Amino acid sequence: MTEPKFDDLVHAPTRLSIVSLLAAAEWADFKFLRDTVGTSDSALSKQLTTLEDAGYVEIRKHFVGKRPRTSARLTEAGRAAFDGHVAALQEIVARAGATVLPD
Amino acid sequence: MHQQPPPREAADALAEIRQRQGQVIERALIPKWFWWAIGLLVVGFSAVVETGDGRALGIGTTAFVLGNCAAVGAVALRGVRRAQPRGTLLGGAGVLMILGFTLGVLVVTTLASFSLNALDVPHSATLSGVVCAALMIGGEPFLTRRLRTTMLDRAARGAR
Repeated sequence: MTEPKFDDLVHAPTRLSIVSLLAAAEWADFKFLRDTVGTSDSALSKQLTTLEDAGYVEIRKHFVGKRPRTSARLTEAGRAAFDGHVAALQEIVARAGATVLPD
Repeated sequence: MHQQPPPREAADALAEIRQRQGQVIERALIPKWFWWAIGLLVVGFSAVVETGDGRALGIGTTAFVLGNCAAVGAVALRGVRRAQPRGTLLGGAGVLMILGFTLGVLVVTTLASFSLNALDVPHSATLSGVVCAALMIGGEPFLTRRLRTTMLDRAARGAR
């Protein structure tokens, strides 16, 4: 059972999208994250760096042939923070009842 | 101390999380064109075998093997290129669904093949191939829907 723990760092809209994508993936390509979230290279880099500094994300740079490629994955700490955050959100919604369920 | 969001915002955040996880899971699911490609290859190969022509059989076998490799390779690369969905999301239930679907297709196709052969129906091998293709193409939406739901539920529960 995951302990509910609201996490401000994860909850910020763009970071929530990034972490949600990473939570379902072993790893994700930088371009995939950028295109799926719908953000710019620089904005995504900034958010990933914030998450990396917090120890939530591991960034890997490597080459595929001659092309440089950047990918990211959630660390164990990041996964634990995400799971705790989801549990906290579920708790808030459960306390309020079914009236707040999205359409 | 942080301030927790109001319930409506929390519900919207949970919906956003589910939607984003669905986008990754979508990449783990086998696309429609794959089932059509394999189905057509099976029908084509069955038809070629039935001709009994050695040269046609050689070309048909090569096309069948290469076609299968290309289709499987394209699906595998699709995931590897951009985002690799977590293997644990499929879980035991997902694996059983895939095995059950495959077994179902095999059993029905084999029974159809033996029955058509016993009834001396012309082109029984090709017709069995058509049955196999129809089962794969027709059953795919059901399998995909069930797998998507299973994986989303496991993602929501934080499957590790």
